[in-house]
Amino acid sequence: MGKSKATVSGDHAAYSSEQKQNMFWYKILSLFSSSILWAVCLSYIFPFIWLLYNSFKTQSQFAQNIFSVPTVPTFSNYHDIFGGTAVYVALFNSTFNTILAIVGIVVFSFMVAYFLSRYTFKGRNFLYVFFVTGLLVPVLGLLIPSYIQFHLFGLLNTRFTLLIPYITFNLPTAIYLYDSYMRTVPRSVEEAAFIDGASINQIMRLVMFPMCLPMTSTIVVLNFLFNWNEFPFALVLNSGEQYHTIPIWLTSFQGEYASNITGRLTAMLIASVPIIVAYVFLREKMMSGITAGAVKG
Amino acid sequence: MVSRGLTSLYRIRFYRALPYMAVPIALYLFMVVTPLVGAVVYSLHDTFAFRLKWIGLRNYGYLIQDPVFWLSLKNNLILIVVSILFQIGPAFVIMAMMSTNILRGKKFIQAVFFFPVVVSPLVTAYIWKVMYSAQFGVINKFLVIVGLGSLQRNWLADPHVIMTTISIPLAWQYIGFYLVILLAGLTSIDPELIEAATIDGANGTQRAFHIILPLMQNTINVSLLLCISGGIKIFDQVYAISGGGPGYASSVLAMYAYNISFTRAQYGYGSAISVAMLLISFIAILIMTVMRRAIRQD
Repeated sequence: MGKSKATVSGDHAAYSSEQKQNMFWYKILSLFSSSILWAVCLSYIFPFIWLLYNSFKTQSQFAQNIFSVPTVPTFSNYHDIFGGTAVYVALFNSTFNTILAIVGIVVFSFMVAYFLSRYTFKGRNFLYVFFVTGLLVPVLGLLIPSYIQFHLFGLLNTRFTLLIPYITFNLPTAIYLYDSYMRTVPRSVEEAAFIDGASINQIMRLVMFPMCLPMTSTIVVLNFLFNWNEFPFALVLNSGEQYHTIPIWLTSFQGEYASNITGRLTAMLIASVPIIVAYVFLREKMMSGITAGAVKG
Repeated sequence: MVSRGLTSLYRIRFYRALPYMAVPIALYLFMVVTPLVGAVVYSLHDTFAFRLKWIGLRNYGYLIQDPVFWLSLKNNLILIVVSILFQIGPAFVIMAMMSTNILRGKKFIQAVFFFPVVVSPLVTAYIWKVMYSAQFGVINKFLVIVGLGSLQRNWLADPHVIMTTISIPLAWQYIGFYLVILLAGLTSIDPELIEAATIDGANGTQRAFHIILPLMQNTINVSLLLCISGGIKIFDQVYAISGGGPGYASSVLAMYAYNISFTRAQYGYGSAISVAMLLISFIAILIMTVMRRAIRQD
C-alpha cells in the first residue's frame, strides 16, 4: 500500500488539468465535510461533558443557568447518593449478576462449542442447530411469558433469578464465537496430548482453554457490556428493591427525585463509570467484539 | 489436515458429551423453549390473577381490532425506517470519508461515535430526556441561540412530535455501531481498487457509490438485518423517554405488551402481543434470507 501511495504523489505530471481541477474541488469538499463531521462529533461529546459538570451543581444553580460551568463545584449530589444505601445495593447486585453471568457464559459456551466444533457424535448436528437458532429468537418477545413462568415456578425476586436469562440469552453468540475461533485452532497439539494419554477434561482445561484466551477476553468484554446494561428482564423479573440492578436504580430517580435534575444527572454518571473506565482501556476490543458478535448472521 | 488414523479420537458417544452440555441444554429449554411455547399457550387464556382460563383465539380477535396494536406496529416500522436512513446512512457517509486520506483524527472520531453504543441505552435516553425537557431543556435553548427558535417544540408532551423525539437520540446513539461494522467491512476491500479509482479521477461520491457500495453488499445486508431486528425489539429507549406516551402515541410492540401486562395485569393479552412480535420477527428474518438468496443467485 505504501508503495502505491508513493506513485500517486510522485506522478503529479501525469494528471491532466481536468483531473487537477477535480482534485481541487475534491479537497474543498473534504475540508467542508470534515468540518461538518467535527461539528457532529461535538454533539456526541457535549451531552457527556454537560452531564459531568452539572453533577457538581445544586438544583438551584442548575435552574439559574443550564449551560454555565459551576464556579464553586459542590459535591452535594454525590453526598446525597452515597449517603443512602440504594446505590450500594444496586452496585453490588449489578456486579454480582455481571460477574457470575460472565463466568457461566464462558464455562458453558466453551464446553458446548468445544464438543460441537471438535467431536462427531449422534445428535451433534441437531444440538448445533438447537443452540445457534437461539440467535434468531428476539428475546424481548419472551419477556411476558417468562414473567408468568417465573411466577408459576416461584422464581421471581431471588438472588439468582437474573442469572438464568443473562446466561441463556448470551450463550448463542458466545457459542458461535468460540466455535468459529476453535475451527482456526490447529488440532495437532490436542492430538499429541491425546496420544500422551490425556483425558478430554485435561485437554479442555489445559490445552484448549489457554489457546482460546483471545476469544475468551472478547466474550468477557461483550458480556460485561450486555449484562451491566441489561434492563427489561431486570425490570420485570426482579422488581424487589433488594435486587435492584443499576439500570433499575436509575429509573427510581425519575419518580422520586423528578424535580432534582442534577441528582438525576449524577446518578446517570455513576451508573456509567464502570463502562467509561472499561471504554478507555478496552475500546478496540469492544469494537471488534461487537462487530464479530453482530456479523454472526 | 487431520490424518485418517486420528479422526477416531473425535468420534465419541453422545452420553460422553452430554454431561458437559446438560446445564446449557436445560437452561435453553427453560428460558427459550418453554417461554416460546408458553407465549402461545398463555395467549389462548385469560390469565387474570394468574388463574388460566381457556378462551381460545379471543385474544387474537381483540388484537386485530385493537388500534393501539396497529399504532405500535406502525411505530416499530417508523423506527426501522429511521434506523436505516439515519443510522446506516450517516455511518456510510462517514465511513466513505474515512476511506480517504484527508480526514484527520480518524481513531478519535471513531472512538467518539462509538461511545454511546456501549453506554446503557437507558442512560443515553435519560440524558436526552433532560435535554428535551421544556423547563431545563438544552435543545430548545440551543435552537433559540442558533436562531431556529421556530423549531422549538414541547418535545415530551406533544403526541405529534413524540416519535421524532424518540428517533433523534436513537439515530444518534447507533451511528457509531454501524460505522464500526461498515469500517470492518471496508477492510475486506482491496485498497488498490479504491486508489486505482482515485488515479482515474473518481471523486469521493463516485468512489463511495460505484466502488465501495457494491463491494460491501454483504456488510450492508447484515446492517439492514440488524436495523430491522433492532427496530422490532426496541424497548429501553421508549420506556425511558416516553413510556409509550403521551397516551399511546409512541407505543411500540414491546412497550405495549409490557403496559398491557404490568399496568392492566392482562398477561394473556400481553402474551398475544408477544406472539405477534415473535411472528413478525421471524417473518422479517425469513424475507431477508429469501431475498439474500435471490440476490446471490442473480
